[in-house]
Amino acid sequence: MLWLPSYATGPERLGRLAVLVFVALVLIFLIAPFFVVVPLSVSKEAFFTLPVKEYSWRWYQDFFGNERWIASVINSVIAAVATTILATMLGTAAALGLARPEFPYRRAVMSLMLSPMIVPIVIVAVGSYLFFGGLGLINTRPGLVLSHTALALPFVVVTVAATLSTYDTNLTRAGLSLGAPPVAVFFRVTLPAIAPGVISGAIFAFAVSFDEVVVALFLTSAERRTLPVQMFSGIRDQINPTIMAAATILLGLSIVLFIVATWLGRRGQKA
Amino acid sequence: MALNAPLLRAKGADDLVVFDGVQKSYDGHTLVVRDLNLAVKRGEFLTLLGPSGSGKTTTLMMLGGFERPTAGHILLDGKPVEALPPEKRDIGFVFQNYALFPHMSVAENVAFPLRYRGVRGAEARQRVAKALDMVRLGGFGGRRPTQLSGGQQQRVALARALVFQPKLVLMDEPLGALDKQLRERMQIEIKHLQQTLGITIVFVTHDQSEALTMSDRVAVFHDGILQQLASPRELYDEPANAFVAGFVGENNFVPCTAMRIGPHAHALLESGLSLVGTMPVALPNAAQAMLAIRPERIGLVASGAEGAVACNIAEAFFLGDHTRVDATVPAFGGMNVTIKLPPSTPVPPPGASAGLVLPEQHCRIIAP
Repeated sequence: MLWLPSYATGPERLGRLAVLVFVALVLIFLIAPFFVVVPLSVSKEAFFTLPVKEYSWRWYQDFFGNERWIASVINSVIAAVATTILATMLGTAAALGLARPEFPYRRAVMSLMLSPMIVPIVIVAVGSYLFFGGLGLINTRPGLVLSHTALALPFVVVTVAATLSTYDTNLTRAGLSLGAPPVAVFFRVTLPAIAPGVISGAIFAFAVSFDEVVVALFLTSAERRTLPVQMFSGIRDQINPTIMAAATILLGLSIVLFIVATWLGRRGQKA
Repeated sequence: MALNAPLLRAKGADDLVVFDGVQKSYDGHTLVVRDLNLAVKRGEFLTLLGPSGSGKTTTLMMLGGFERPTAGHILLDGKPVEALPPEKRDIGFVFQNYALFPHMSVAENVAFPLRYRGVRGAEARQRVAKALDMVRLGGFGGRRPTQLSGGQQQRVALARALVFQPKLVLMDEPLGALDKQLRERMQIEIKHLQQTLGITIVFVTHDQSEALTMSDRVAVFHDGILQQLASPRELYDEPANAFVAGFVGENNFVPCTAMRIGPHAHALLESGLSLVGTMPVALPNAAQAMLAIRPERIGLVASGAEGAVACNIAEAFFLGDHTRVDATVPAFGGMNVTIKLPPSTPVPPPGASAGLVLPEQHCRIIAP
């Protein structure tokens, strides 16, 4: 039971037991919100009380019946889809360029590209706010999408670069030698080979934009509110279990995206 | 005029590829290929042979269009192609790791080049089937490359490089990943295909026996310099320098001074011994040189025989098809000489003295 060989001594067994208990506690801590949010979202009561006495779908009905929530979902989906398309195209192109050994200042450019992952999000938000102010991009969809694209780009670059490191450049050479123009070689040879990386990069990009709250808070007006922003203001204005329904829906989406990304990663390794 | 035109065309008309003073450097100061002048004849099987880092693969990549020469010109069919991208060169390329497209079936792989030459539908299918039959893979069209063995994958790569009937096919160590028996079979198969189809092949390998088996001519590379361009027999029998003599086949080397006295070429050894030999490439008098003798060209006779060089037998190994003898030669400064004898020849026991017969026509005096 302790995954130890039969000759393990008493102290060893005790040590292993302590490690297992600790690991279990960490895991419970990580997924604890799940056990609060999901039951509360199906509770009939208007107050956050556990355990749940009576179950009902009323908060889900409220969520789907409320114009504000629906509008925020639509805003989020539009922003996330646009971010995904933009970040995937740019990130894939960047990864392809950075994979070439003759690329000048490769490391420096790569670090710059990955910097949105490290820079505190508030700084990105304030920077975008000030910069976009002059360009009239505040409270517009393009402004939000551009900012989210910058945040999502590193995820695409990293996943595509990882797939490219196992890509055989002779495939590109073979395609060219057989008479296919470079663009055709990219779409018919390179892209199918690196597709698992590109798709998981796209999923990350979608998740980054869909979850993001700080930049969205700075850059969106009331009518362009995204789902996370709507949840945030919902908490402040009127505390109401509808937010639990929204959180559960977000949670479900994240789980699905994570499973798809993992599955694609496995497939990429096999190919 | 009418007389002149064919004469003009005859000059170089046989050459499909010409390297004219080609240089290549990746970092701007080290030359990977130095002043390469080389012509590939139409219908020829030419092998670029050399150890790794000798510049042979870079030369092939420049011809394929994947690298640009730093200086000089490459002519294909008489036209300079340095600036022509690979997809416009109409050259078939076979890679060492096959480079088959993993997401396409065998037939789709072979049909790939046809699509970009406007061949589609029934004609394309027919040509794919023909190409697969040619490499004895008829009926494998529906499989994925990963479902095939290494040898089969290499034959698919061959079919894909031949299906669009290119005038020139380049091969970069295509048999390197195969086991010995399969490699030898494929050598013969590729050679037969080349002869039947009448195509020109430029083949890169570091395996000298592969080069000798397949080629009409072999270009030996070392340190970015073309050492010798010759037929396999000439390369073996008349190596231009010590590198070629040592890289192609086995050789015994003795340092000497070259001397031409009357009609004869002499090798003066440090011990004072003078041997008559041949000079495949004329060397200036008193030049530092190497005396090279193939192990199978040395005869072993009883000690004290006339004209023989005294030696002491060190060891003898029976290897089935021949007996290999190592002997020390005092006249060679105590150097070890390897001798290959027919298996039935009696060999004196280790420690015994004997005599070496060094036939004049097999003593090569060459540049060190």
